Amino acid sequence: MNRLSAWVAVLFCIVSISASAQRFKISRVTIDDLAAKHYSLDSSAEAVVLGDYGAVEITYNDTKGYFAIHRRIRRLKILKKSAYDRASVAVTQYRRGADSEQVIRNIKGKTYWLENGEMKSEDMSKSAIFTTKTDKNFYETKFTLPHVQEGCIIEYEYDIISDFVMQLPEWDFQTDIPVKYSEYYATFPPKLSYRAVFQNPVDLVTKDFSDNTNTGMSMRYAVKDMPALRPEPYITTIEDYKTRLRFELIEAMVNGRVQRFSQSWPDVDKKMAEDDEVGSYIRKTAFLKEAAKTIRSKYADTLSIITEAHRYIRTNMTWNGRVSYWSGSTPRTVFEQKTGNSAEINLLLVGLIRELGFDATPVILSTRSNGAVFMEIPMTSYFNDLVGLTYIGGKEVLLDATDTFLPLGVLPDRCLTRIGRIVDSRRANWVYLKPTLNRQVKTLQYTLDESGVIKGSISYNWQGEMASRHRNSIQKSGIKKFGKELIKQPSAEVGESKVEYADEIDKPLVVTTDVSYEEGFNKVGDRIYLSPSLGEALAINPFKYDKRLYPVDFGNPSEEVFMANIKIPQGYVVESSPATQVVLLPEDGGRFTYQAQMHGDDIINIVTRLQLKKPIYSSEEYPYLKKLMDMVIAKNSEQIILKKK
Amino acid sequence: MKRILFLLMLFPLSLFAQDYSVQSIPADLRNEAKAVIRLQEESFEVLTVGEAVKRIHTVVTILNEKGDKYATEQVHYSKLSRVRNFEGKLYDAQGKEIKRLKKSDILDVSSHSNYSLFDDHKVKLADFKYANYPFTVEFDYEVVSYNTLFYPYWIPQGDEELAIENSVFTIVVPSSLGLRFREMNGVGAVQKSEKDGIQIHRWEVKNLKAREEEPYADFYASCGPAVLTAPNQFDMKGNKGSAASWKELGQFFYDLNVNRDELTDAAKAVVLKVVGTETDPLRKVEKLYHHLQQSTRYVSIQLGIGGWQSIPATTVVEKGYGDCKALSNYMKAMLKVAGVTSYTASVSADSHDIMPDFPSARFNHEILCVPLQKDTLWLECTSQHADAGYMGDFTGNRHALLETPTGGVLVRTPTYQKAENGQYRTIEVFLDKEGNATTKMLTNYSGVQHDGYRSATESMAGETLKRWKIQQMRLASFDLNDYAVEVAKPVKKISSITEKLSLTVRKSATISGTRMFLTVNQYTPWTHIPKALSNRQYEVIWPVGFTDADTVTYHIPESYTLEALPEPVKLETEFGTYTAQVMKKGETLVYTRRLEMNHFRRPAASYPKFIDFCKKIARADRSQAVFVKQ
Repeated sequence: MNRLSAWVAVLFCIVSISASAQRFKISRVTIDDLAAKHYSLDSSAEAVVLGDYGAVEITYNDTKGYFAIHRRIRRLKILKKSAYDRASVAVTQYRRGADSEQVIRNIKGKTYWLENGEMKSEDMSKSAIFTTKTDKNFYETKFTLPHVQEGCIIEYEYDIISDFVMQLPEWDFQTDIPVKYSEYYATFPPKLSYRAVFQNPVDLVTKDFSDNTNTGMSMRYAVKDMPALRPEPYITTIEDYKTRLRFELIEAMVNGRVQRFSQSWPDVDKKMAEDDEVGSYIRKTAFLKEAAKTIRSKYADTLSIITEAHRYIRTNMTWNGRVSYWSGSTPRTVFEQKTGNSAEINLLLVGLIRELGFDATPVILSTRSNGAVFMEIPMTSYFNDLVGLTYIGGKEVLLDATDTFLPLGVLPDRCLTRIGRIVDSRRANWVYLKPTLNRQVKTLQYTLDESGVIKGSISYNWQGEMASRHRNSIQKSGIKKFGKELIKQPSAEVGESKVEYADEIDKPLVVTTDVSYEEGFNKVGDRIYLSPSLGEALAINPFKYDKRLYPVDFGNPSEEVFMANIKIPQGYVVESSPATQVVLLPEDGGRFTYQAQMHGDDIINIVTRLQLKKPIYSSEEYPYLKKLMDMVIAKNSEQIILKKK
Repeated sequence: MKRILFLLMLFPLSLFAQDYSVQSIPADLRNEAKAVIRLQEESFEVLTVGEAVKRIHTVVTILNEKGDKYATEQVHYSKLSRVRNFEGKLYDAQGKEIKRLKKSDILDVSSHSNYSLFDDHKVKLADFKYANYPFTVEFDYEVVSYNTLFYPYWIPQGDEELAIENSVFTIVVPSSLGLRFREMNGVGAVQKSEKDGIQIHRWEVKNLKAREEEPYADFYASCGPAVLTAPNQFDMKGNKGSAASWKELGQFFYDLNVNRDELTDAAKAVVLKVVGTETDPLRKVEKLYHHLQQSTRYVSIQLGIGGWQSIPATTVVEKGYGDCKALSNYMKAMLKVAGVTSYTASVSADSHDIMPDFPSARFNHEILCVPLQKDTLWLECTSQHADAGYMGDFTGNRHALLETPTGGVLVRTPTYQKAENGQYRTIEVFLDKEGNATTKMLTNYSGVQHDGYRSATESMAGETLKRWKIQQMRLASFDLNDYAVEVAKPVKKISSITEKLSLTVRKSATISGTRMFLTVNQYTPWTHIPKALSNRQYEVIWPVGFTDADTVTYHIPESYTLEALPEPVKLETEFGTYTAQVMKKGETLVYTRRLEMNHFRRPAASYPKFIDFCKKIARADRSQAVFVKQ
């Protein structure tokens, strides 16, 4: 199957196409519009979209069949010079051949500006339009508007004649600058039936819909005063928070027959399960029989067998870094080349487990950066990655072998989006992509010398996805460099580093680095002032803003333990040390504990633990999370005071 | 026949079957390397003054994913060149061939996707999409060029983590043209031969181990063995010139753009209107520069020889945009109308400088130079906000080739002194008895220290600018309450910006028991310690000096009395000076700190002393004052 057939072109031949009719009421540019110095709803905006108008019209003619005309008219006010690049526009077109292409037509542009209080305008000339090929099947048309200056208004329009009517482009009501008004109009012939879906819906200022058996279906939606989209740290992708409109083709009358397109999840499931490059792929793995036999001969219980199968694929195959939910070459080729994309590798693993006689199925998903899957709207086009699922002792176990160092049941970061779809026509369903705990234990062990010198070691112990990430780094840059980079405090003299369990992924990864400090603490008179974390604890709150719009999505729950064992110089006693503290998040969503104790008369022992139990926190929980971090940092900065006896 | 013989001479090694297995790489070459060049043969054959062929044969073993870029070959070409015989092979770790590039595997696309860029530069790109390390790739291709302005710079080990088994560079020129070259960093002497009016030059390096990257080193000194080559006579699609001297090269660029600075009568009238009754040349330049910034914008357009030839000034007037050459040329045209002479000047912007004693057209940007009676004014014509005469980090402190009617002249753009690249701060901090602070800070940034703040200010405002500043700040936990920046009037052509802010800082001072600890330098701490090297090879260079000066007044809560103050620190070194002290003045502590970093070039042996200087500053910046509760 050619994957791009998801973008189905219904019929062939090139025909001449008249420009689609103007279907918008667009007001004239006024002197007031031009004179405005700021956008009243957002004084920080470098530019504002005054009006964004999009239309799709799907029509049919005998030579070309069904095709879409996408019309775009955009009016933009440039407020600051930094927005000048917005007057250069790039439009991407996909072209696979005469019957499956997108072609831009009727490009026009105009700039309006004020000169001595008078409105001036100039049209963009043809010489400012330029088309290049940017990838195998992709072309880019660029154009740039004339006479751009602060305060000017630019307006451009174009049509895209597209053979792809099955999957229509999304209409974004929002972008990285504010949008004052945005309108989308769609009209479909009677024989094609589409469904419109809003993501992050807002109040509509226009909402017209008509469906007529003779003339077809048409709809018009408009919004106003949309704020600029601002990315925040710890989100999946900003696309998930955008207000936008999608269309999905439900059914089409082709040659007098009704052809249904993916309409329900069972339809999607059937298609995926029967697909040669997804569901059917795992039936072509007979060449793995030998490997299966060897594994069988060595292990008896299910867990050991599946763990070994996972190890076998994980260590024999190298992921080429590409994410995909389908395979581009045959299982045998992939296996022989020992390298492949995520689907190719994980399908081999699923195949091998099946050859071993156990149940296993592929699971398709959309990665964090690819954006959310909407369970209410069945579509194959959401998906971009593939993992596997098997069962051990009746329990679901997720499979991924793209990362050499990830243990069985742990998914890479990119997959932590909560839901995936099982590919199996009979048992298709949603599966919860269970995150695993990221755990870090940092242990400082050191001795103070009265002279100010500190000597000791800093040791890290990692479990979960985090451990794999660090194992990869160690493999890439070597333990020496890795150990050095772990120490945050620049004044530390970094000595030898050693690693334990670098390849034993069922054990935690442990890295220990020797450190020393020339002037590790402050000595005044007969007192010693010591920051027990030696600058290695969290010191800057990662949540810097006072407000948050989107949820804080870490992907995984986490636990960070910090321990210090400090041997104090002879002849000193502890005059003061930080008090015990416990801080809880609402509903026990997280907690921080701090404890300092004496062991004997010369060892101070500090244990702190920060648990963020949820992989995701709502924006309402954000202030608590920020406050919790503040308290962690404040506690970490407290000092120990020693006094000479 | 002669041509075939030459080919044999150029690639003698290729005639024999090679062992491309990973085992055959000497062990010390694999150490610390991400990839190993097994064999690279680069030849450059100048056929005539206007035509040259570059032939590349590369075999490289990729050891790990950091070396991935060597598994991809990108061959750039344009309207003035074409690519022939592009082939590639993939070998596994044992050296067994497992794949050959098919024609359909080679992507042929535009080389830029930046949407503000319009050019005809294209790239043929091949990538085996393989990841089973280690593996080996082999590439062959030829590029025929009808622009002989550029001869190769052969830098076989520009990447420190790349080891070289064997790399050969051959350059063939007609004896009538001759060759200029510069051998560097211990590359072996040229093997030269001459026959039938053709000169052959050949260099070779063998068994170069991966090196450790050295920070603060000069590009040319630290790039490994290298040979720079450049033409005498050249021809760019019918435009002939000489690069034998800066004078001739500058003359070529001047001639290429001659008469492109004519304006229409209407445009001339606009210029005269802008100038008005102004007679002072400096004021004229400032007025016209302001006009340029208001009426044009930068759009990069490089078509055909447009990479070197400006579009006419009249076109810039018409469209309101142009690239660096077009905008500089337009500015020059306006100044001409106003009776002020100026020269366009080529520079190597943003990256390393050109080599001043080896004339070659390795420039990437153009600016305008206006010699005035008292002083010379430099203009960055692609900036919509720069002050007239200011050259920031992008184009300042380097060589520029002036293009004058009597030929090229190599000069230097302005270098600002350490006092001119300043960050001068006054801070007032009110501490409460929990250690929280209310802070007011006033900062003046000037010279290169102003560049980043200036571009932020020009591109952001309000909430967006505030959020940017919040991200810049390295305080544990704080709220930025007020934030305002104002561009100041340049002093002696040096730009500056003033920033005013107020903050609430949580736990600015920490309390343990009955004591309160205050880190005296919270707002300008030095944290950078250059990495230690076992054996530094190259000179240590700090290209631009600067001065940071802070005065911080801390208002201490009444319930605390001072117990201990940090000792004053004074460091005087060949790299710069640092002084810091805290004094009690009534109910306040006044902390003053001054760091003056020189621009310096010191021998490699002084590197440990430089690290020590940085460490001592960092340590002094962490020192604390201690208070006791009454």
